[in-house]
Amino acid sequence: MVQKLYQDFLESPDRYRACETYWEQLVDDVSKSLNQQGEWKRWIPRHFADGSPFEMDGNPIFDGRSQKLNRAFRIMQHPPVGDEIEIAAWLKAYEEEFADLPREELVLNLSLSEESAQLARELLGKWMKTSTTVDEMNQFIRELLAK
Amino acid sequence: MRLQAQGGGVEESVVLIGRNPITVAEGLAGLETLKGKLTRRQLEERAEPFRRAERFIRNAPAGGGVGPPGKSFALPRSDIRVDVEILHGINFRN
Repeated sequence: MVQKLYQDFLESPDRYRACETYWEQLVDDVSKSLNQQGEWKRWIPRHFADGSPFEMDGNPIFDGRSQKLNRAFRIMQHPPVGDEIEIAAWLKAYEEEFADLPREELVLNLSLSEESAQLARELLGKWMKTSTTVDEMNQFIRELLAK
Repeated sequence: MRLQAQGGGVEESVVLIGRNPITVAEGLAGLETLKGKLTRRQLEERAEPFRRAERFIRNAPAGGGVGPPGKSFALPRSDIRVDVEILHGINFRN
């Protein structure tokens, strides 16, 4: 059984923001460990074109993009559906013609627990590292999440 | 605009090219085309992601439309998903 965190994140704006702050701090920790402070900015709009906000549904709960690496991530969080570690990850690619978008993106789909957060930390750390290639990241995802 | 059914061994997509912006009707029609590329089983396991993707598109005009990068609608703890990829511009305004 895992140690679940913020199971109630969809139940109130305050809990939602607290959960966002959890992810912000985790990402900040990872970026500091890589000497990339301030390099990863949120990039996915949280509102429609007229400024009205999207539903606070955890999709995504947090995201980041490095202009320097032309690379991004998004974390989609859902309430737990069981007592096991719940996490999936994949990479997305965007063609160069779409200049507003990053070339590659890591997507995490998870419910938050101590255990899934640790896996997310490892995945983000690998992806945010300057030298990591797409092939290396795909292999890392397969190996880490197969354990 | 690209609509995709991904994960669980599936990689199907529909590219919406034409008038800019893409309308809600065109987006919903694109999702129907995407559904048509899947087997009954693949469609059944993606029923909830498709429902959420349709809701996202239908709700967009009330907010004046949506821009990049769009949203991914996945099953919990899974890579099985439906992506509404908005690659440029504000779409689903009406």
